Amino acid sequence: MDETILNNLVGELKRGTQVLAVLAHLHRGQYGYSLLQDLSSQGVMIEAGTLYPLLRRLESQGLLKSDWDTSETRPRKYYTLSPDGVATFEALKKQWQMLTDDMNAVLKEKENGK
Amino acid sequence: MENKYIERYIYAVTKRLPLKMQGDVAKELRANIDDMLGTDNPTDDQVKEVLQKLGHPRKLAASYLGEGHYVVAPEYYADYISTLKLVGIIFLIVSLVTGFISAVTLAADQDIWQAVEILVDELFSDIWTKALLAFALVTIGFWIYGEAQKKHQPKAWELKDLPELPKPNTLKIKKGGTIAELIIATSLGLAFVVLLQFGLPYFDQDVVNTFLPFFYFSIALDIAVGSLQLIFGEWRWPVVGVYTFSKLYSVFLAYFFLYSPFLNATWVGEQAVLAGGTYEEVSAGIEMGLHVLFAVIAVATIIELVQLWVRVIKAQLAGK
Repeated sequence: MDETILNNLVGELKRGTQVLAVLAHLHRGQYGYSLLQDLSSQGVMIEAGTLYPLLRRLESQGLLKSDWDTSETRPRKYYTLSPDGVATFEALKKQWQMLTDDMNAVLKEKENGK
Repeated sequence: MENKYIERYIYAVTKRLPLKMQGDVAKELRANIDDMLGTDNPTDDQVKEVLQKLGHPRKLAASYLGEGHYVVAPEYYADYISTLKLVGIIFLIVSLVTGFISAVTLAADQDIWQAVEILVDELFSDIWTKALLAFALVTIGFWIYGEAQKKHQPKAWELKDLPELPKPNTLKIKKGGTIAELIIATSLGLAFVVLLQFGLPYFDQDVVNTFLPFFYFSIALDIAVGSLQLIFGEWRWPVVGVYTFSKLYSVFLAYFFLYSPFLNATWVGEQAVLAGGTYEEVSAGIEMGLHVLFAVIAVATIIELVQLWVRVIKAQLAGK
């Protein structure tokens, strides 16, 4: 088995789930690094260089809103779900559940040798 | 504390972004880097580790820009390449033909060596400029088209828009014909050269000798063309190119040979006596004959080349 090909395929699978994982963590406000730590503590591996631009992109799509907090020594940009983001997250979650159900059925069928 | 590497990194990222994004991305990136470092006085090694984690500035900038920034989008790439080829070939023909015409005009009163120099000069002097121009025009065309398409919904396509299947083997070159042609052309060519070389009375040997290397080259070209035809087995671009060159070369050579003083003046004089006319009359008659001969060669060659090119371009378009 070619490890490189496998790694690429796994990477592709994970990339598809990144947005869902990020949205799931933003019901409360988070700044980039805290979100990164949160995600990695749950085993969601996303690189800093991927996450920071992704947050901006989701904001420009209207799914997130952001605020600069300058009250502490370090200024930080906090992101939270916008109302549109909440609705999108719920819909996406439903799609994900359907997808996993379907995929589980497909994989189970193969296992049973049908 | 501001670290020079952090500032340089942020600059390397933001300089690749549109102006309106730069300030905000820089501010956010600086905050994120500070958070990742977790200390106000990081060592260079700590800075290095964090910046390496963020990845190459170019890659990070590309992530900030999002996907879909191309001069030629991947979905148009195959069409772009085939258009480039087609336009390149058309530019090449146009520059060869115009170069050839202007060379013949310029070289009309020169001897054969000067004529060749002028020909080479005219053919190749601005071929690069033209090639670059063709490349630039096609690329800009695709870029504009791609940008315009972005604003439209993808067009519905109809089954009837699918290209026709190319007719099989329209470009095939028959092996038997090629071999026969090769043998005939080579032996006739050699016979002609031998005839010239062994000094027949009606040739001016000095003039003829100047032309000999050019006739040998012509034979070599014929052999090269025949071999390419046999190797490729069909009219591919290298074959068409070399074939076209060899045909144009023949016309060029015919022009300079037939319009050179290759006939022996003494022999012409003798013919005048035999025919019972003056030297001028016979010489004018011969000249007339040579004009006609050259015209026939030139017209026949041009018709043949045009037919071939039309056939090849048609097949290329159908095959796209």
